[in-house]
Amino acid sequence: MTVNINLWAKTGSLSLPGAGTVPFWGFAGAAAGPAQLPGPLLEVPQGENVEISLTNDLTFGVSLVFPGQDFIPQPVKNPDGAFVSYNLETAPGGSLIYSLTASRPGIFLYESGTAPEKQIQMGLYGAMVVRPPGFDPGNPATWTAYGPGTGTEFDVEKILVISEVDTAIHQALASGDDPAAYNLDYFLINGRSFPDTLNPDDSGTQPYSGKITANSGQRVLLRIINAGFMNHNIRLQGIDIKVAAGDSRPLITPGLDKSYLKHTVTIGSGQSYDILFTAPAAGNYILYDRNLNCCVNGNNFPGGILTMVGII
Amino acid sequence: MTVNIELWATDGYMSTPDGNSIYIWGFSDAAGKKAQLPGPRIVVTQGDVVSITVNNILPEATSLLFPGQSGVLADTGTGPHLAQPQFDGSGNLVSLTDFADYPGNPDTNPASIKYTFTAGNPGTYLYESGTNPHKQVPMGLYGAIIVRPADYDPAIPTRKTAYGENTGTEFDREYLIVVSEIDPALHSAVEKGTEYKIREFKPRYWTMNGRCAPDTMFADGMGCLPNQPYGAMIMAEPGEKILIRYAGSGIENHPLHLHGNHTRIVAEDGRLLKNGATDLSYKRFTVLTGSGQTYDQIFTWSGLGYSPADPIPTTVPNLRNLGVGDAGWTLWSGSPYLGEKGDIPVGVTSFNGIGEYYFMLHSHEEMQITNWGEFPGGMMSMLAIFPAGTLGDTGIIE
Ligand SMILES: [Cu+2]
Repeated sequence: MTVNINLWAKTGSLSLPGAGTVPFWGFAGAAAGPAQLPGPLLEVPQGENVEISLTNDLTFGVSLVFPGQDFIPQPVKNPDGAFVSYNLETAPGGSLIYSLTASRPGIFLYESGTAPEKQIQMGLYGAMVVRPPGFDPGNPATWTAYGPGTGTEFDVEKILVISEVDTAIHQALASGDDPAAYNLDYFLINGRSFPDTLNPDDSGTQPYSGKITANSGQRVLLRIINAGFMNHNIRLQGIDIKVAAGDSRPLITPGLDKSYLKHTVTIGSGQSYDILFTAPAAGNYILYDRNLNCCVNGNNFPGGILTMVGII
Repeated sequence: MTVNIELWATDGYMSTPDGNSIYIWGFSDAAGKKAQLPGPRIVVTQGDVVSITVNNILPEATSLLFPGQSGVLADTGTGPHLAQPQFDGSGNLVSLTDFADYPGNPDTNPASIKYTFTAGNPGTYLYESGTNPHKQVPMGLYGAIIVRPADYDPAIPTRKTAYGENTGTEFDREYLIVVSEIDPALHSAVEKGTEYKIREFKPRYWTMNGRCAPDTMFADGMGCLPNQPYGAMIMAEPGEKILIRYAGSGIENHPLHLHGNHTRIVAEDGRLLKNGATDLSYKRFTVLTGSGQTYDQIFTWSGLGYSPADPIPTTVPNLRNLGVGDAGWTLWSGSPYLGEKGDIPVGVTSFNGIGEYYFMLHSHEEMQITNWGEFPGGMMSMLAIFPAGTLGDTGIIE
């Protein structure tokens, strides 16, 4: 079977605390919808052939790559042999279909493979979750991250996409100028900086809340994926977390349990971790980047990669 | 058992080997004492009920977070309650946890706070400020906690362990190395009360136990380093099990490696790398010590056993071909054999004591082994292997 998905690459405007609005490039899930950060969360069943039709409303070529997934990229070189893109480009005003096979479950990035040093910083990325066989959204008894025998049963799932913004680079690239010196000043969970991370889901350009809510005793699955350029040290204060998968490779397989406990996890650029915990006593537990320079908006604490796990 | 600990959050100065004196905030273990870097080591036993009172004499509120401990209670005089992030009346986050206010703040809380938790797991942990942590942690408001396993008994070899009997974590000597960075511009701005922009963070010094090389290699409690009491030199004898506990209290990740040796990581963040019978420990040459995380490693130096009576089956280079002269000093003994000393080139001073071996331990981000741009310095120390029977009770953390 084939899952058909449509994405549009567009310009848009981000709202960041203390920075007003900042131009960005992102993916939209509808022709009339806004570009969003991160791009639309894609959800597909394992084993399906996925065809993503990308329509390019930007003024330069863009493309899609699917790190960790089963696809064959077609790198592009210019006539002089210089490298241009990790995958076939969709021309401005055009559209192109990118295919992959969702051959294993997990959490993955999709991102531009064209001038990625600019286009990913500008926001052309999103997350895709591949569901294991037997996963039925309507039946909580079937909810696992990696299928039976992987110890990844959960009651509450939260996907957290980590990234950064350099507002000066955004302004420069949006105006067609060369980027200024790289100096990141905003640090994001699901496209938002604290305290906006705590707001609920909405239908704007940064639609996904960064807040985790669960009842005491529930099994919580955090799927943290780093779309940014930096490594981030994500800490959940006061709760033992079990690392159940790295880069969507489950650490528990029948007969062998290689999962381990941590309180802080270094998540490299482009990497992901699936983390499990049982919600403890009621209260607010902070989740933040122990690289404390990323808990700011501009120069001001608190901000950035900081959110709450609210246990009821 | 109940353990009561009192800390004072105060200020002081640290010294760097290039002659700088840098203003710090930190913890001391007695009223009237200057802040030390890192804060006082806290050593408790699994199952202990640990109460830590922070008396704040800084000009702003401060607090403590205990990563790796759960169910931490806070009490500012109104009774203990689960330590929680603190918001002001308008809903703005003002502290990552309950805090001690600054003395004399007219409208709010007492300037001291008592945190209580049960040390549920053995291992290596940090304690650190949760209030303006982007400033207070780099200023020095951090320290380390060692939790001994419940069955710990240093008199019984099978119970002198990091994580308990039968966990494969026996050790003979142990060392704790807390790594961090210093941006003097931040420290100077805090001292003078001027503005500091966190986006301009640029460390000039990198520390092990609050010291920059070569001070890292001095003993504990040197009079010339009154507020940096802990050395970072690792000393052991051949065949001994050496436990090294790394803790990353800075905001950067540091790739630490020990020349000529691979260490086995047996625990991270105070959690044993073992699930039932499945041993998850692993060997590393370079240990990427992540910000806010801890790594417990055990290894043994055995050497190849050569001696003057059983010589190394190769030609030892001529003195003139050994690069020991340039700096004017060396740690080389003049002999390739443990416990032996030999000729040193004229004009070179050897700091080797009794023919011990030295292996460099440093951050492989090489700019971090400088003191404000001058090599050698920064995040660098040594492992020294001494002849059997010469070290006494060195390397036991009390
Ligand atoms: Cu080296």
